[in-house]
Amino acid sequence: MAFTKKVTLKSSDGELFIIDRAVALQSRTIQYVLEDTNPVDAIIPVPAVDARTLSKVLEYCKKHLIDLNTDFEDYSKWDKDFVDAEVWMLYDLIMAADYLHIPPLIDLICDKIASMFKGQTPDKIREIFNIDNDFSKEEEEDFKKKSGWAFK
Amino acid sequence: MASHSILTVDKIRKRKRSWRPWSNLPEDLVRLVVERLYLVDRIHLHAVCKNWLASPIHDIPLIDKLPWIMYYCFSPHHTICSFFEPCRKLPYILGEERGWDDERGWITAESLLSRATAYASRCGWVLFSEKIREVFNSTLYHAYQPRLEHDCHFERLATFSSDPTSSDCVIIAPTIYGEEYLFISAYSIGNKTWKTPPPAHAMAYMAGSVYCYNVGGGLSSFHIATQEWRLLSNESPLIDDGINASDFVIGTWYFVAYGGHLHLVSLTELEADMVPECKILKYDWLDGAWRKMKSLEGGVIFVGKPSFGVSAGEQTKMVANRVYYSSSHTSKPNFLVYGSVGMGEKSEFSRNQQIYYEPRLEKSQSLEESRSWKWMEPPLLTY
Repeated sequence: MAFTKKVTLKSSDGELFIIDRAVALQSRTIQYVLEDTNPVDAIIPVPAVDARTLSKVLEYCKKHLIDLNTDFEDYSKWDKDFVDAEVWMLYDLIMAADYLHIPPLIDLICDKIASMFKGQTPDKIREIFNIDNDFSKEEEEDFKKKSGWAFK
Repeated sequence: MASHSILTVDKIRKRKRSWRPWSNLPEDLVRLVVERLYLVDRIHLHAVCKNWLASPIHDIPLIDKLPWIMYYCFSPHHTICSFFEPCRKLPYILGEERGWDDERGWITAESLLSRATAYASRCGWVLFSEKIREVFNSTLYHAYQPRLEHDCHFERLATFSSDPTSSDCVIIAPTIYGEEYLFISAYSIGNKTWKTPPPAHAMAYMAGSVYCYNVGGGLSSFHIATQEWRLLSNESPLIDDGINASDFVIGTWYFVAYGGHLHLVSLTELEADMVPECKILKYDWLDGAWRKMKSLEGGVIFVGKPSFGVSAGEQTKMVANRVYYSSSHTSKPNFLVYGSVGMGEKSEFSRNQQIYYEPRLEKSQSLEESRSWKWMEPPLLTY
């Protein structure tokens, strides 16, 4: 198509990604930049996202471009594999999806994170997400006093 | 030794590389995750770190729609109280239990409730015959004993509108004068006045109103905010729409309000190992008449005291079109599938967890006899 234009994104660590405009438009943040400034062949900086994360996000955006040959079923299997990633990657992805404002990707990652919480104790959740326990013994006792039934 | 220390440094490096400040996850993202969690997972999230404890998540509506099971026995010899969440195999066991009695002050649960029966449940509270107690907060148990001016007692049914600690909670209970007349009285905590509406045999609370059903056919509603009674119907459902009395009244019937509609559910007498016959009528607001339901339209009904119903939704997929009931022959809930199940309504197993409604009971004959279980509405997030 004659109208197909390319857009160049620059990651925080300086890598350039040349992609179809339609792919980039799935990010509302980039959509606003393109609408406001209409930079022809200019480079759009994405200072909050590194190259590794940005390439993964763009992989998602490419897949989710409306494709008549792909039905809903295919997406859900692909999506499931897409978020079958290490927790640090999920963190980088959700922060990037939030910054770039891609609601379906945010939803997908939130579904995944929520599924990791289900049925886990606070200790186990800390272990999964690598979070330090900053509660004192007294504060922990307080939880047990208030809703002890939920911690057994 | 050397290789060991290198390994440790490697591990630390790896840990550092994979570490992310999850506890500083922006609030709006935390909220998006919480929206997807059931109550107990939300409580656990709160207890992970200080930042998450401080996140404002109390206003996020709970997605726990299915009732829990409260399994209990309060006798002087044996006290047990546990809760079964539909998505969890093991029960939550309540610790030390106390109840407030107007005359005796704080007393143990068994001396307060050994002869009480549960009639209604809302927001994690269970109304036990004459008293209400909060079952989910062991340090703050409350029991309300509405004082009646007449010589009367609660019988068979009682319900309430919201969390009993809130000032807008209204308790509705029937009053018996002699043997023949049955009246319903409404009692609110701040305002100790009783209103006496037409007689009723069953009550159900839904969205600001209490609906009362009389076997003779009368259906009335009590709007809590305006404190007004309204007669909705004088017609008997039993002769309407081709359903005759003998079809409907055999066995037990239940009055269930959910999803904006009123339902009458009848079950034939239960025989050992037999699936009872079930008929469900729904009140048609436009025609002012009861209509037989051909299917549950993906919803689910839990009959008992109290009864619950849930419209079709994400959490009901695993139990769609079922009617859960208790059988006197087993101490766990049974279910039947009501009406015709359409192609699109079949259970999906994709992302949904299994639903467990089978309390595991200790095999002790003498204890089991004195135990009961009830459907209960899950509590709200309280801290």
